[in-house]
Amino acid sequence: MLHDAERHWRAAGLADRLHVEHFRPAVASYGGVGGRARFAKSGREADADGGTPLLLVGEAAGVLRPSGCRMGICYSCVARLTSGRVRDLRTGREHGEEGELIQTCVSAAAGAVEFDL
Amino acid sequence: MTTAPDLRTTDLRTTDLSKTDIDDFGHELDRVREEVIASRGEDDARYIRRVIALQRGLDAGGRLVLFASLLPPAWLLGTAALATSKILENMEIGHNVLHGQWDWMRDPKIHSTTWELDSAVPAEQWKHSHNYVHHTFTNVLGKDRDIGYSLLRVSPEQPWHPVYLAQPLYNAVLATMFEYGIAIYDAELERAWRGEKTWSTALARLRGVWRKVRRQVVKDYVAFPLLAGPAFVPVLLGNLTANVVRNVWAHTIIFCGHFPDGVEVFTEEQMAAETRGEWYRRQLLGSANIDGGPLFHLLTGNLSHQIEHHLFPDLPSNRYRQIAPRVRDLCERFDLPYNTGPLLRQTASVWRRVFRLALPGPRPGPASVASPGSEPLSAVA
Repeated sequence: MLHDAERHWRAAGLADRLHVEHFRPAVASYGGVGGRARFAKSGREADADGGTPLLLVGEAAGVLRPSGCRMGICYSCVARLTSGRVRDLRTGREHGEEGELIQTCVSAAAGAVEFDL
Repeated sequence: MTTAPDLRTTDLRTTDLSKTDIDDFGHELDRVREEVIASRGEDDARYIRRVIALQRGLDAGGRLVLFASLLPPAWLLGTAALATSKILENMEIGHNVLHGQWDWMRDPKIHSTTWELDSAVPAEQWKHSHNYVHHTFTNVLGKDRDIGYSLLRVSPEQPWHPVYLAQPLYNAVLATMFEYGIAIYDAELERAWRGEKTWSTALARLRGVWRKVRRQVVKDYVAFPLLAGPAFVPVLLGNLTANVVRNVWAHTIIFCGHFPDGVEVFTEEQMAAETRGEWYRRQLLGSANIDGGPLFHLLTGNLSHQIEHHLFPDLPSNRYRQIAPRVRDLCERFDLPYNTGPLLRQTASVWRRVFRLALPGPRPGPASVASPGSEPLSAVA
């Protein structure tokens, strides 16, 4: 999919306007039980398994937003949790309160979650 | 103190740590991180709130005293307080808040998504070029633009060009104007110049910079001097001096973080298949500390613990000093260098490099194809 996008933008002479990043999962996984992830603003939702970062779940569902390192260090991808709890994939620690800003690249759903995205 | 050879690219495949050792090293560091996170709490929150209160006191007090700056001692005192305030704000508070070090407090006023720096750079642009690009690709040639800030040759792996002959001079100029160098940095003008991005993208960034610069200039060079009435000129000069002092200090400390002898650079291939332990090792080998006491660490924004900061960019800065002995012990145990030294020595080392690499050569150390056991070059004679 990324390659098709790149080809398309290149053909239009706008290759440098398309920001593409290829990543391997860099976080050690402490998976758990996932749940339904809802992205309220964009009106999208998807099933999120307990081991997949919510950033990726959102992107797969078409919720595109800023991101950076994808390993939990740059804080470019933080998003506001409106309900539910998440699991930090680096430590396995479960957390999340309404209104908390979550690093979506290193957090997976721990049950049903909703984001203000 | 490290005895690592100067100015070379490390070959991770030929350095002596086994895969198991690297994994163990990574796990040990993960444990350090988890312990700090588990023990974060009221004491830490009190620390950052106290530093912010101190900084605001210095700022308000400094500006107030400067109103009397027709008297030379008042000028000196006010300017010193204001310079200290700006140093604290940029380094111990702003830089660290923007790293998300204090996000766990869930205080919307001390948060990476809301903080704006008392400096020419817009916080959003800073977070992109620093938190993401520099901290992810640390010391990877062609990826980390902080290797010489796209302006200087600080590693022999960077091809020489005659323009570098003047780099001691323009590094000195950069030091005095450092906040503006940082401000335009995320526009990535050199990449627009090379055709890697459009000028319109770069210029859009610069428009954001201009809005921030205008605000800063109005505050320091128009509004406060006007408020001072007859002391317009001394107040303006006091603010200018405070900004320049902060610039030179920040430049000095920041350059000691990655450019002293012994700090290593890496290739993209080395980074490509990195494990967590190897990621930690690159951060360690790519960074250098500065020795000093508690007040010194505070005034460097704890960037004197550059190694600990690069291993754990989002741990509260007041904890770096506390974990430093453990990190150092781990380095000893795994036979890895821990680059540290007093400010004078690290700074002299940086400037030696700036002068030496203004000239062509030396031949870069063994690149990623070095054979096992080959002796790395000790480049700067």
